[in-house]
Amino acid sequence: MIALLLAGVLAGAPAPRLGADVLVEVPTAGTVVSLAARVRVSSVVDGDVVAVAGDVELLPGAEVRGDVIALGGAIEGTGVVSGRAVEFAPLGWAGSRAPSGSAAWGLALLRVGGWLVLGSLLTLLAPGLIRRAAAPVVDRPWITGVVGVLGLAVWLAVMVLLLAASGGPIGILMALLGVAGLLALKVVGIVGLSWWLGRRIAPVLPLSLRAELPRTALALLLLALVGMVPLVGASLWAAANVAGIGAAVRALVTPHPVALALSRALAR
Amino acid sequence: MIDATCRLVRQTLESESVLSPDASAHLDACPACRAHAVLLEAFARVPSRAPDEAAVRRIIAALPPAPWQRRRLATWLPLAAGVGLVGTGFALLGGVPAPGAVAELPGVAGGFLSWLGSSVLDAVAAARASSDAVRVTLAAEGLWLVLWAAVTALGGGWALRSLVRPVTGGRG
Repeated sequence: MIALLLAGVLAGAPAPRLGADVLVEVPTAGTVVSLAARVRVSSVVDGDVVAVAGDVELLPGAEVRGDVIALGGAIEGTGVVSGRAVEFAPLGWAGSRAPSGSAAWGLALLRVGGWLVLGSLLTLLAPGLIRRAAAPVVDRPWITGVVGVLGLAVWLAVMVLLLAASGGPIGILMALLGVAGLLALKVVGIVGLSWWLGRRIAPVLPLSLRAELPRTALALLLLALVGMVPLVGASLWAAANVAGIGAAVRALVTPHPVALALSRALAR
Repeated sequence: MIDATCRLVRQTLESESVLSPDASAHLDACPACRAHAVLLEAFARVPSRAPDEAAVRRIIAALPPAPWQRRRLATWLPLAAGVGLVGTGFALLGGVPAPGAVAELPGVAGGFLSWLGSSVLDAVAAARASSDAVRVTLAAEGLWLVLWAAVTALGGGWALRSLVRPVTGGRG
């Protein structure tokens, strides 16, 4: 997914503009790409339309002779798409052009399969990291939640400052690094959460699935499936994301010695 | 080379039982068993101490997966299932979406890198005269946005560092 995101951005070179809406009002040939912005199409595009962290709006008169992809956004509007219209909405909140039928099944399988692959590889290759990310889930869980919300707020603020202070390629690079960092935290956190959940459900599992790797993967599968339940799934997945990011931050960030001393003094 | 009598004597020593006359006679005659007895006496003199639970959990959490786990089918099943699901998902979608964008990747990657390099020089030059982007944001009444972002980044960062503390992991 990240490779596809990078591909979309790079394919829009030499001048994808960060945070700037793209408006296609005249017939255009080639790939149209936006980063952290909306694409509005009201004419013919002879190619693909890719929005990274943004929506695609297909106004009346729009005709896309290729695929329309929204990574981390939604596809809206009544325009014509001759290829596929595919949304990768991060929290499952779909737009009016959300894929249905086999495409919807395909996206669901991609999501579940991707998480299984990521979770299995991480647990296999970096078990220490995952166990560290799992520990804060039980150690003062409310602080993990607060750290997750604060972490997201700080990330958003830093991204806003970055976008305000630098445009062009440096801005794009920084934005990509920021997004990649947040995604890495999210992945480690979600797998850590699954590790903890797997440990809780281990007693009821068949003996062959109680080992660290299969039980973590099974819990991850459950978590991903719960995230796809209509109505409540998106909210539960969002909560799991926030908790996971909080757990990963708590596991990876080394506290400042002064803050530690203050915390100990207050505890006394 | 130890024989059955050696094993019996050592088990008796380790279980701290009273040695029979035969076992005592063997101990006098066997230098290997005598060395074993001396070793056990040395271990007994080591003061026992309750383990530091946090340290034990840290050590256990850092252990790699047990080798027997890698030999079991159940370990690799989730990975294989995930790859299968991803493949099926792409098949149902009709292949990788936006193939045009993906196909352009090798060609534009080199161009992007050179564009990045030349733009770094531009950015350095622009930074000397302060950032135009910040001035534009301020001119567009974006002062409060920048202030909010700065306060959130600094205050939130400080709060985060205050909240986090080392946590010890477990392994089950």
